[in-house]
Amino acid sequence: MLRIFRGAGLSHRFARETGGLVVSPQPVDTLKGFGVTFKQIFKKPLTMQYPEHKRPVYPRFRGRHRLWRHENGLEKCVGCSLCAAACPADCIRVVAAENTAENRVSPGERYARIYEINMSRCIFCGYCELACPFDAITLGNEYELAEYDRDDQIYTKDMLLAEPIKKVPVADAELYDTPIPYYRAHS
Amino acid sequence: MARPLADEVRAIAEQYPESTSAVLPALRIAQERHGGWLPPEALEEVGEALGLTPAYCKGVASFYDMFHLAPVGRRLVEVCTNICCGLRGAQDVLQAFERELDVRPGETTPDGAFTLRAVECIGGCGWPTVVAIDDRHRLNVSAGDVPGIVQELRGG
Amino acid sequence: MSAPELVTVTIDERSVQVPKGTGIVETAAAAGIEIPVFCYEPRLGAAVGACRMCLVEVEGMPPKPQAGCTLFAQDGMVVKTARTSEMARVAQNATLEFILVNHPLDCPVCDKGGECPLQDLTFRYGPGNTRMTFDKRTFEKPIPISPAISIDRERCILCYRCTRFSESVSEDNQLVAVNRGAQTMIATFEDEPYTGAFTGNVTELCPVGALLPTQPRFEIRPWEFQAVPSVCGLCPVGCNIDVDQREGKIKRILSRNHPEVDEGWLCDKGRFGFSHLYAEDRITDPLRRVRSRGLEEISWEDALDDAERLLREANGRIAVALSGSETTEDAYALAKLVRKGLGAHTAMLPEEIGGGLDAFRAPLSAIRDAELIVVLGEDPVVERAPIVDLWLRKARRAGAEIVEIGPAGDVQIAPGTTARACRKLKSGELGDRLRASERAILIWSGGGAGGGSHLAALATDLGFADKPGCGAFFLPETANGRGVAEAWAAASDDEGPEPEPLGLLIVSGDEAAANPNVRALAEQAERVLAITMFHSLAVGWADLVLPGTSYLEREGTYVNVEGRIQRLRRTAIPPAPDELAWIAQLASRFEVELSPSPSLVFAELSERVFGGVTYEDLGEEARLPDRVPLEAAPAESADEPVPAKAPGGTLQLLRYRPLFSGAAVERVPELQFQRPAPEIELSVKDAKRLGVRRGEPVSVRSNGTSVQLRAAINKRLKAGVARIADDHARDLHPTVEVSK
Repeated sequence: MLRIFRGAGLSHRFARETGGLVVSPQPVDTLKGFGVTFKQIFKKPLTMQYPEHKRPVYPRFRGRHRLWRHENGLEKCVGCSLCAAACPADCIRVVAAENTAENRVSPGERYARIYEINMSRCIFCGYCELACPFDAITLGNEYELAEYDRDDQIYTKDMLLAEPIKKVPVADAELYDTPIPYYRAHS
Repeated sequence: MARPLADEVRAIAEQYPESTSAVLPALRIAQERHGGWLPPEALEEVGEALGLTPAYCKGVASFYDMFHLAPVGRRLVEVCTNICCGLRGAQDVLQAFERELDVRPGETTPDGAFTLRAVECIGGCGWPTVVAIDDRHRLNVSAGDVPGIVQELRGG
Repeated sequence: MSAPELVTVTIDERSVQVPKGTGIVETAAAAGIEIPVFCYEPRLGAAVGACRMCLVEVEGMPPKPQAGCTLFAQDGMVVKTARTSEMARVAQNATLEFILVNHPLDCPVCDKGGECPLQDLTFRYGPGNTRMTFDKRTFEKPIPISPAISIDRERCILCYRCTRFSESVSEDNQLVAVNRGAQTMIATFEDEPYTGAFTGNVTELCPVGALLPTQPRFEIRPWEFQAVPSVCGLCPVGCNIDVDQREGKIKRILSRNHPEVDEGWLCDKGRFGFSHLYAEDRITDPLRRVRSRGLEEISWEDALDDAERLLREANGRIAVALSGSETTEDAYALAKLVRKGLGAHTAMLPEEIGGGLDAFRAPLSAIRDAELIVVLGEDPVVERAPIVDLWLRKARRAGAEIVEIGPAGDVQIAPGTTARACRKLKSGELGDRLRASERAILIWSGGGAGGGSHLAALATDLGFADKPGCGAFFLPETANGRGVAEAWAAASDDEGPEPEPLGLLIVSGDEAAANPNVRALAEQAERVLAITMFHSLAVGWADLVLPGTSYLEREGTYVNVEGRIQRLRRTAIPPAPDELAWIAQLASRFEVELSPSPSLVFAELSERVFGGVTYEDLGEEARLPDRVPLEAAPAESADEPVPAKAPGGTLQLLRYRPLFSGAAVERVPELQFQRPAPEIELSVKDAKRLGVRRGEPVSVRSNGTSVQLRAAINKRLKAGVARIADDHARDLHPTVEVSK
């Protein structure tokens, strides 16, 4: 007996009608499906154990921004706000100020006193990098940007000028002193 | 030095319908009165007498070559370096003066005796090279004449 | 005037009809075609053709590019711009390449970047690349040419707009081009600061980033701010302004051209004065006086309770001192609260303006078109209403005759006799000419009360009411004195007795708080409630202080010198609720119906005094209301008592309130250099008699007080009169003795 069922909740009725025994309406297809699954058991897994293992990204992957300095330590950014103008997500805020002899931050007259990127808004389009006349901002490869607090998503100039912080441990004892369990280190 | 500068300037201004017309002659007199150049006070004086701002007078004075806004030496040596004179060795004459006086064009000797300048055409194209010494022209000057001229000027 | 002859000009194969003599740039604009320009600016007088950006090809003229800005429309003219003429295109391209030879191209750093005509035109007409490989000319930069403006000579393209402004608009001739050729640079004399009422306009005229204001230096980019159209509230002219704000804070103020009011000019007080909003001693919370500790911050709930208590305790014995800087709505609200709610009808209005002048209403631009102008009064026009001074200069350049009647003028009169001189004008030669003229203007600039009524009487007598080209302007001292007076009168028709003794004095606004007469009245009052912006104006005398807001922080309307009602907008976020918000709350405690919304308050007020116009009717470029015909001859106020002639050897003191003074200017560091120098102006005769020369120190004494000042000689000043700015005259009596 083969019946065609339409709509939700029918499986309950079917279960009732068959005295509590749930039988698939298409037993052959079901078995085929299980067959696919069983085949995978004997293959080498493709899954990488994130966060211990990270799949490498392409070099041109656009992740967290980075602000750069000249070799002499001065910031490349002059606070021209062109990145903010180009930004389609309106996530960059620049407030510039004037360099003085006592406080020289960038070459030239102007520097960015405040430089903030709201990472929760950023769409990583890379327009800021394109707009920058001084190659002061680039998009890096880091993508681990989750925070517990929205406010922490606002990256300040100091954060952007520094090396990105590695947030989650990887299976690399040389980089991290956190003990890595035996089964993971040898998997 | 009988009349005060302001009176003389006003007398010139009376000849023109507008006081701005009198600026050039007024500045010339002021320059004569102030030892060959125009200190800021001179520009202020001329401006006051003509009812103009000193800034306007400075704009005019700085435009024309014959007004000097920095002190000049007791003798002013101006070598024409324009086309005719240039073709007939004005550069050599200028260099000869540089050597003899030990100054660069536009500079004054440390003792304040000479100022050397390279200028554009001063209207003696028929007799190149023309050298104006204290506004008096010397014609057909060649580099060889320069030591003699300097000797003469030094000697008095 | 007959209609001007129309001519047909063909521009880029488009035919357009314009009046004969129209500039080719405007003609092209009429045809919908742009001719790019840097130096061309009709407001600066005749075109000079300095920048060569406007090059066009004209058929029938020599076969070379012509400067379009120096040409005028002729019948049958055929002009080709860069759109259709290869010659013009190449020429403009080369012009830009040439301009850029020495331009530093530091656009990312330059504050002009983003709103820079050089950037825009290079983008559209210029070469994409440069062939120049040599070093650019360099100058020291940036150099302040005044504390408010800095110059970057590397960026300068020598369009001469700024020097032309200085020469033929403000006519101060302080900014000039020095040197020649490639070495030319814009400078002042001996690096003295560029001083004057209008210097800031050059920053707006500059088509590159060479002249920039120092104030918002590097704080804004043009795409980051919002421009809010508003009106300046620092003098009675009411110049139209665009207020650029970023993140709720005002960064700069630009002029917004209202061709009848300001023609796109703005004085430095209006342009640079806004930073008083962010002064150190700005009051942000209500303050209550505590006996031993001075002022203490309290909450708004407590403050309103306190205010209610003060108002009830005074039991109707209340007087209100108004500043003339309140919006019409605020003044009406306060008046309604006090007059309707408390039955107190006594106010100290900032000044008496006098009725009747609405019958001779004219736009300020009528001054430009006038042929005969009589300026009466004791105060220099520029100190009272600076833009009016620019209109007068423009009129003079156009050939108008200007007769100044005052202690310093063409017709010299003794101080205090302006009203008499005004009456004298009804007869006499000058009066006849005024009567005969179709384009005559009368201006009253200060000196005694009731000037408006004297002026109205004179204008009536001269028949100005029937001549649309004629007008009479009374220059008030305060920005909205007219509106405040109208609002106070409109709030109630009742009258009440003078409060005796005075229970509560309500001081509204900074000008009133700084006024010595108000201070004297406060001495008699049992309690003082002050509404002021600044701590130093509140301390020591007020029992309750409520924070005031500025003209830049509230919605409302101002009535300017012409009688034009103009709309103010909230252009910045105020640190405290505006006046109307809490006056409305307070009013509800006294069963007075008052909306906290300025538009509704204005609608109510407008029904009574402004003929029912609404905010929508006013718009952003307010129209001048029609003349209000006089029903009866205007009542002339009695003359002020003429001050006694100074006895021999002494001089009569003539005070004036300088433009650059007051609570706002005091708090703007960039404007300090503009405040009047400690000088005493002497007439030539007195200077000779005293043996004083220009710049010499003199001591000025009167009745026990003595002030040391520098002598200045004013050739137009009447003998026997000495003029000193209020800032320096301080406690001097009307008769002073001057000695070396």
